[in-house]
Amino acid sequence: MGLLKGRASITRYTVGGEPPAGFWDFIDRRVKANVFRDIENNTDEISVGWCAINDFLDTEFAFMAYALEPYVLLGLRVDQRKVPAALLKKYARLEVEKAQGYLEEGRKLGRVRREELRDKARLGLLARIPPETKLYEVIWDTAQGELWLGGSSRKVLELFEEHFVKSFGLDLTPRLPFLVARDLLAGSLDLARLEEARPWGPLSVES
Amino acid sequence: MDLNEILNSKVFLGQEFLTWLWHLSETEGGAELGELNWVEVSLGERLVLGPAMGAEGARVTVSGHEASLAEAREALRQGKLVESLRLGLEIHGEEYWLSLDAAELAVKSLKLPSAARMGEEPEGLEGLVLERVAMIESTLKAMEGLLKMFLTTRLDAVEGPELCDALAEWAASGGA
Repeated sequence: MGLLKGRASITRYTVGGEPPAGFWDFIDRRVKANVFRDIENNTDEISVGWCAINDFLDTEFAFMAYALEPYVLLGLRVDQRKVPAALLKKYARLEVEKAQGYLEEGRKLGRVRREELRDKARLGLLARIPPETKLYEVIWDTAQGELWLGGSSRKVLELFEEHFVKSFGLDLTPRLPFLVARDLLAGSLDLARLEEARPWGPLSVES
Repeated sequence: MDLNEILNSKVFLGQEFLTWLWHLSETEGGAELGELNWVEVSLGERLVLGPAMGAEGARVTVSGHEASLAEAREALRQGKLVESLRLGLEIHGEEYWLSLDAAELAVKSLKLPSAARMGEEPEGLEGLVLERVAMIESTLKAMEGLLKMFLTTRLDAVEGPELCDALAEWAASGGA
């Protein structure tokens, strides 16, 4: 969100590992093998994949549209169906009541059967609820080995990290403050002091 | 000690850094940051203070009006440090606004100077990407420059304690 328009929340990563020779061919193969797959016509709950950075409907990448040397520009498209809890409760109850009607008087459905009916209700609802689409922009500077993701929620970071590693097989390390500080101070005496630093504690003047 | 333990044990540096940024905005008003030249630093409309690492206590959230800043200064005197803030940077005459929190120091809700709107043409997209990348890079460079400036002083055996004293005096001075 926001790397190309609006307000940007940026999560920074360092990309490590050795990319193979023929880097752009490698990227082309891996991007195309891991593009977004539509779940509009099935009951999958979630789908995660690459699309164009500026158009979540474009998964063709004509003329290697993701390449702006030295940058790789991608969109991470996440489609997800969410079944509202209240809706699931209602339809699970309807299923249970329907099944109960077939039983002899006095007999009750067992726990396992109730769970099966709940799953049935859930699948029925998933087929009727359209997935919600979200696009997270990714800018990968292959010269610097640095990558920016336009998003910062824990869930999005997990989905992105998993899909990136699955797609490219390269290491992805978040640029956390202490690691950034270590890089900034590399080679200086302050690096050892950084490791040993202790908090100031409350700021108060001795009277 | 594994990396996660080290990272968790250094969260206080984020709190101290954000508190220093507030101090910097009210004293020097900015810093000389290499190729970026003089970068103006100003406090935005949101400031959250919380207990220093290891201490207990409630958070204080204030907006950046004068009356509220007095409240924030009082929280500082009571031993709290900045947990998150909205920060303004003026780089090469252009205004940038961003939110930072002490635990992550990740740049959030970054408002860049107005750029061309994304066009339909591929060359429009290319131009937009390069423009936005350059602006985001300037922001990240400025933040890294400020962090390095803070750490270099903070970790110095002589200047570190002096900086701590200077912040304590500033906190005690009460002006807002």
